[in-house]
This record gives sequence, C-alpha cells and structure tokens, in this order.
Amino acid sequence: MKERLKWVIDNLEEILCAFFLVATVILMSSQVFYRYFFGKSIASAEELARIAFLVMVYLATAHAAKHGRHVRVTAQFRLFPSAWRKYFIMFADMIWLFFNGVVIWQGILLYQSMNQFPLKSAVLDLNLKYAFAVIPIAFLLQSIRILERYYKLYRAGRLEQLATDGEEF
Amino acid sequence: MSLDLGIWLLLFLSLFLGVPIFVSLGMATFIALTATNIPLSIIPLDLFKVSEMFPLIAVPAFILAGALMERGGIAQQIVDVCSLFVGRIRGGLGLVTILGCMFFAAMIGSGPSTVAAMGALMIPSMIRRGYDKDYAAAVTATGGTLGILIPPSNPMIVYGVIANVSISGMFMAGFIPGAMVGTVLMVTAYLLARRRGYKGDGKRYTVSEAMQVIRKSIWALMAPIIILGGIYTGIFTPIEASMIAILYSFFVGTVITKKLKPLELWESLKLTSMTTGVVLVVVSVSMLFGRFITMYQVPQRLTEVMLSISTEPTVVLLLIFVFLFFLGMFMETLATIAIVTPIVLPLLGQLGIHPIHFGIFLIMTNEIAMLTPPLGVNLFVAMGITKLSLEKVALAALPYVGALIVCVLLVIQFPQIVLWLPQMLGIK
Repeated sequence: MKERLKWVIDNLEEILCAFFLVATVILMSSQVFYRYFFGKSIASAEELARIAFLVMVYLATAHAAKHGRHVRVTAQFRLFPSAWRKYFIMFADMIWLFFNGVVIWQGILLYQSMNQFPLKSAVLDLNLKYAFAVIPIAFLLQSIRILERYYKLYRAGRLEQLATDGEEF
Repeated sequence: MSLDLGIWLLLFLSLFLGVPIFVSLGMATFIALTATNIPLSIIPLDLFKVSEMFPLIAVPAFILAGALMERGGIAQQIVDVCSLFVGRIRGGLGLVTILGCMFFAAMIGSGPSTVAAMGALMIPSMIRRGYDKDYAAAVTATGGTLGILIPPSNPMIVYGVIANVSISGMFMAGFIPGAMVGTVLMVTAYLLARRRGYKGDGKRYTVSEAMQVIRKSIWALMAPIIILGGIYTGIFTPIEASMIAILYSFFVGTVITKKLKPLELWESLKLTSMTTGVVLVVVSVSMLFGRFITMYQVPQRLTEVMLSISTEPTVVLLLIFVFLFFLGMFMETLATIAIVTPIVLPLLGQLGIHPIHFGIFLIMTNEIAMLTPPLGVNLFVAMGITKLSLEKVALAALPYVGALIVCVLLVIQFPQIVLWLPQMLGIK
C-alpha cells in the first residue's frame, strides 16, 4: 500500500497527463463522429478539451523538470572545464526557481482577484478561476520537483549528473 | 545604453548560463515588465493563453500517435513496403530509410519521432548488412527532418497558430516541397552509398510476393490516406486528424498486430507527456515574450533595418536564411518558430512575401537546424541509437545539410514550388 502510494506520488504528473490526454482524445474524436453522422458539433467538448490541454501543458512541464529534461543551450559549456558545469546548472536553477516564484505569486494574486470579479466560460458556464489556479499549482509542483531532484541526487551522491541536464531529448 | 538592449544582453547571458530556454524568455519579460507600469498579473494571464492556442493540442497528439505506430508495428510495415520498391538499388537500405521517413512523416508531425521510429528499425539492419554506422546514423537523422515538412507537421501547426495562417493551407503547401526534398535526399544518399560501395539487399520479388507484402502492410498504407485524406476532404480538421491518428494506431496496434500491451501504452503516454512539457512550455512563454517584443517595437525596427538593406524579397529571405542557419545551431525548432514568427511577420507584409511561402521556408530552415550541432535534435536521437559521438554523426550528415541548403535556395527563388498547390486548391 505504501509502495503503491509512493509510485503514484512519484508519477503524479505522468498519471494526470495520461488521463487528460486520453480524455481529450475521446472528447475530440467523438466530436468528429458526432458531426459526421449527425451534422452538429458539441461546443462543450471543445471547451472541456481546452481546459484539459491547459492542465496537461503545465503538468507536463513539471514532469520534464522532474527529470531535468528542459531544453537549455549547453554547447558553450564545452569551453570550460567539465567540473564547472554543474555549478553553472545550479546557478541557472536558482534563477529558474526565482522565476517560478514570480509566476506562483502573481498566479495567486490573480486567483484572488477572480474571487471578486468572477469569469465564466462561454458554453458550460464554469467558473474559470479554478482553471487559472492550475498555473500557480503546477508551477509550485514544478519547483518542488526541482528541489526533490536535487535532494535525491545529493542523497545518492550523484550531483554530477546535473551536468547532463537539458542535453537529452 | 537603452533598457531594451540591456534586456537582450540579459537574455543572452541567461541562455549562456544554461537557464532553460522558457525560463530565460520569461525572466527577460519579467524584468522588462518591472520597468513599465503594466501589472505583473499579465504573466499568469499570458500563460493561461495556451488554452486559446487550441490547435497546439495536435502536437502532443501526433507525438502519441507516432509512439503508438512505432511500438504497434506500423513502422515495421512501412519498412517492408519501402524495401519492396527501392531495396534492390545500390545503397538500397539508405533509400528505404528515407522513403520510410517520408511515409512516416505523412502520418505524424515531428522530426525526432520520425528518426526514433525509423532509426530503431533501419539502423540495426543497415549495420547488419555492412553499412558504416555513421552513414546509417546520418541518413536516418536526415530522413527524419522530413517529419516536419511533409504534412501533418507540428511546427506548421505552431506557425499557423502564431501567424494566423490556415493550417490546412500550410499542410497542402508542404506537399510538393516535401516530395522534392525527399527526392533530393534520396539522390544524395544514393551517391554517397555508391562512393562507399554499398550494395542493395539483392532481393527480387515476384509479383505474388510483392502482393503479399502489400496485403500484409495494408494497415500502414491506409494510415496516411485516412489522415491526410480526412483533412483535405474536410471530414475533420488537422487538429481532429491527430486524434483520429491516435485511434487508428491504437486500433491497429491492439487488434491487428497485437503488439501494444499496457506497458507499451504507458511508455507512449509518458513519452508524450515529457515531450509536451519540454516543447509546449516554450511556446506558451514565448507568448509572454511577444509582449516584450511588441513593447519595444522590435518587428518595426527590424523591418526598417531590413528594408534599408534591400526591398527585394529574395535578398531579404536570403539574409533571414543566414541568420536562421546560425540560430538553428543553438535553438530547437518550435522555440525558433515561436520567437521568430512574430518578429518577422510584419516585414513579410511590407515585402509582399506570402505567409505560407515564408512558413514553408521557415520549416525547411528548421530541418537544417535539426542536423547542425551543437544543438541538433535529430543528431541526438541518431547518436542515441548508434552510440556514436556528435562529431561523427554531424560530419556524416554534412552532405545532406548541403543538399537541404540547395532545396531552401530553390524555394526562396521559386515561391511557386510552395504556393502552386494551395492556390490551385483555392487557398489564398
């Protein structure tokens, strides 16, 4: 039980992304069949798919952060001794965390302001503030994943591995 | 020193330090915003806009479709059919690889996925038949670039969204250049194979054997017909086509070939989520960066500078080509498109360059970018399969880069290569 929970937490982004992706595929392809056979389209399907897409993009961003896979320009590192590389990456990651902080902070402020001035979606009349909340939450998750990765690598004595960040696709 | 120059310097410094590209763009915009009285809440608002760029959903969808086709045996069927046609020619396996890539490219829209799918099958079989590893790696990496030129194409979707150009129009426009580039690459692969003395697979097919191969591979052969046919006849949009591609490859992989098991499905979904995160966050932050660009009127100033050099569209496109060639050494495809498109678009109008023509030109320059180190995504995938060094693969890919440059020059000089088909079919 405990192991299963750990697996879910470790793979949270993947699981949620897979869910939203599959949901989008089902929504949008049923749209095609519905339109082809009945000549009408379902407006709510697209609206739901849009929100699913938003969630997917930012969760997937956290997923890639968890594995250190975000694209960086790394060719210039060849000019320096390879031992320096991980320090470059560490410094770069501090800037990354700072930027995430800005997004989280502004995202929360925006969410709060939407309590005063609610914004509704066009078709389903959903309160969009929950969709907006996805951004600070996902960026927070992303920051946690970055720190978690440092912690794990440090514990395993493999901080050197940071040097390969952003190299593979 | 003006503020915007300082911000550009900061952006380059942060890229130089190895800050992820999307963060570098975001930070540059954040700093630019703090110098104005625009509220910072524009940052989450702009990040939210990714949901308005809905056609982008086709990007992860085509990636998933590609992963399913690779694991579900559709890629293998394509290879079988291509061997039937060009396997016997000298250096035949190289030709099979490129033809296979063209075929695969007609079902999905990403360069690296095409390399991954075709490379996994073709590189080992080329090495078994005595082809050098570097030739095998280079021909696959190059063939994979067709993934973005032959429709459907993820970069075309991104370009269409940003430039507000019809995606179906882009897809039609990619057809003839795709066939042209594919042919040029096959000729290059043939000439290189001749010089190295490679042989074909020596297999002769009787008519009944050939029919058997085709019958066995019918599911793979149907895929591009369904996907592209559906788009062109208007039964579904390019975005919906990506969903149909998933359903189709899922159906074939589970019911027909029975190669897709839960593990393969999970792996494909994970790969899709990873690629989505890496790629689309750059596109979404580039919307934010677009604010900085418009705030400082970068496009207008670029237009002025360009027009002061020349008002001849060909010359301007050549200049842009040189710039993109160097940019492409360091930048990834979708990031390049997301950043360059809004900057250059106003210039196009002034010069009378058709946005579809420019779009295909931009896609083709990005094909080259996939093959030029230090950052060439297709090289990386081919390196991963062959375990060769970057230098080796990049060197072996050099003749193909030359061939691609010739193709780009042709497209610059003769816009009709691009525009003829969409205009025939009534897209303005």
